[in-house]
Amino acid sequence: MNATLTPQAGLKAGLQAGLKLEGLQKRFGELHAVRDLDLEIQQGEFFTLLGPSGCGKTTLLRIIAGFELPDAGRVHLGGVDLTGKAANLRPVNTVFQSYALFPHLSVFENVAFGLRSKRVPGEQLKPRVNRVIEMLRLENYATRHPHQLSGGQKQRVAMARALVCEPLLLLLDEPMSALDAKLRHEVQLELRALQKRLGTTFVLVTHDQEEALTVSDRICVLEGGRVQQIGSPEEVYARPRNRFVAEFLGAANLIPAHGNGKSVHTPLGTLELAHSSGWSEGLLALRAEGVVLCPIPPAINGVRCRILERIYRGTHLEVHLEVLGGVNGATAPDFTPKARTAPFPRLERGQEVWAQLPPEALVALEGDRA
Amino acid sequence: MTALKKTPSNTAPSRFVVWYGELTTSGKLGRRGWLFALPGVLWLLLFLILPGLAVVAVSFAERGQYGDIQWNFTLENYSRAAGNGIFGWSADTLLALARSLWTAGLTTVLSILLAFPLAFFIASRPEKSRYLWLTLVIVPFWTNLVIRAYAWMLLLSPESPITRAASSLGLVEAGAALYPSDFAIAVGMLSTFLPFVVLPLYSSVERLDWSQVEAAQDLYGRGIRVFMHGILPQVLPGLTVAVILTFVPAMGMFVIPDLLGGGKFLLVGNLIQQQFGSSRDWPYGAALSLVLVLLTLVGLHYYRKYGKGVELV
Repeated sequence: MNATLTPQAGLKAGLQAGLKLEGLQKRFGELHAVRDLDLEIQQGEFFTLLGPSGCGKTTLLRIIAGFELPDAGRVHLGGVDLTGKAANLRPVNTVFQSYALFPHLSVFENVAFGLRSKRVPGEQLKPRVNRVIEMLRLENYATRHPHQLSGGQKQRVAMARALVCEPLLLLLDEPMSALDAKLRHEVQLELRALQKRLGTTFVLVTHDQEEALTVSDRICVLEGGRVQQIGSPEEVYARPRNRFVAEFLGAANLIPAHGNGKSVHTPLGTLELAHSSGWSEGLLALRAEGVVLCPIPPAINGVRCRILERIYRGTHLEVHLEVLGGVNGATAPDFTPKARTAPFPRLERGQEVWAQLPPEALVALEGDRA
Repeated sequence: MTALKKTPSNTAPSRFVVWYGELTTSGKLGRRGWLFALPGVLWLLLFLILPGLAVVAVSFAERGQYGDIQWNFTLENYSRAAGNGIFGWSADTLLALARSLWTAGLTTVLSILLAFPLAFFIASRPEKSRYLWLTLVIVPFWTNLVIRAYAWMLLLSPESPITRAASSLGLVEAGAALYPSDFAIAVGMLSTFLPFVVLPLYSSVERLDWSQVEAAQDLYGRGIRVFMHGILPQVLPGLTVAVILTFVPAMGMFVIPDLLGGGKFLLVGNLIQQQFGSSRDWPYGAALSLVLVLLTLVGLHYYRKYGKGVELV
């Protein structure tokens, strides 16, 4: 490795990508936490690792931070190999899940910790710390100790403590899991605004799909230590690549189908697709809000249904349907689709309606039809 | 509040409380609390506080001709403790005190240095084998202190493998014994007090929040800085217990220095033991004991002060 080349210099030259992970492997005994993982994160983007607990997202974050050594693979930042470097030698800082503030230090000293480690002289340190403390609206708490702060304030101290070091990469390990629901949404918006203002690369780990959709530029869905899909929130949500992504991001209806092309055979009859399925046998995903309920037979992909259940959710109505007859009079299968509509007072239990499964809302999933 | 019966003005107002499903008042509960505490309080009163006061009283009395206690008020015992004797002032008593402080302090510091890696080692074992390791730490306590001291005499005698190994390495002259010596005292003291440091330290280390250690590393801390901010504040409660459990008894220790030091150096513990034993000078012994208690308290006070400093810096 070229000893003089630092990640900072690599990025400044504009020659190198942000963070590059190559062929990462990590095992803990029987558990294969990370498998053959390749990932590229652009400088300045808000990137989210999304997945259920045990999917390897936290392990991945710890490998990037330098707390775990991968069994195989490389971690590059700005073109410089960081794989074997200790955490304290990486221009990367972490916001811990439990915040891990130093209980014996004041808010000011907590924030100043990184700069003091780097022996930044006092006259430079103070304004830098104060600037970040102001940015995160902590001016009134600078002399307090962590046990005198609320959850939201602690979280901001943890952010300030990491950001004051001006890292090339800020890692956030489920930083909002300890906050209550209302505060969490506020903090998500703040976090996003902060990231846009600073232009620092943020890598967030979360299991909360709504959070991921709210804050991210790109989302990486992980499962079993493998990347399932990477894309913008819209891509990942609207065009899930496989069954896992579809289900994890809340797709309500999975329809088994066979037939290659834009027209596939399903238990609901022959359905038209907007894009070619790309397989001869597989699954179609359809979100609840993709189903269109109408009183008259629709021109395409119409299924006659009876309303089994009507659940009022305030912002929307959740409707469970029983299929009476499939497309073109196909026999009614054992399948209860779920739909989601605007609160619509005329829908009652037992009522018969037509459900349209619009071609553009039907997504053909990769992988086997389990 | 008007519904409540007015309580006499000299007691705190009593509030209604529900205690395990029973409606009662805080005053009644408080009195019941005293009732439960009474046996313990009586015990302490009879066997700690009263004898303690007796020691204070005796320390101001005179020694009779035949080692009895003459109840004439005098400060002579304290004057002797400060070094004034029949033959003028000598530094012997003060030296004994200083040596005790030094020995106890050294024992505490060395025990902590040895116990830290041991506590981390045990805490990092799989849960099942931790208790085995902890038991091994306690095992020496199954034998009496004096017997252990004699065992060390044998182990450190000229013919023992340890001594031979030491002399073949050139650490001691061939044929010489490792005991009696300062080294033998250190070995004896450490083996006696190590468990008192390991156990409380282990209980702190076991609960260590490692994310704070990682946070210190993440924020570019290295070595000592990670220890000072990531580990020390978290283990300080255990460390305080360890220091008290080691330093206090080590200050009064006389068996180990006597047996393994060959009685060459007088510690204040030896001095006190002599007064209550062969010299039959209880008033002087009592005064020395109180001076020791005072010194120990002062030592602990400074430890707490320093400890608070670590907590708050």
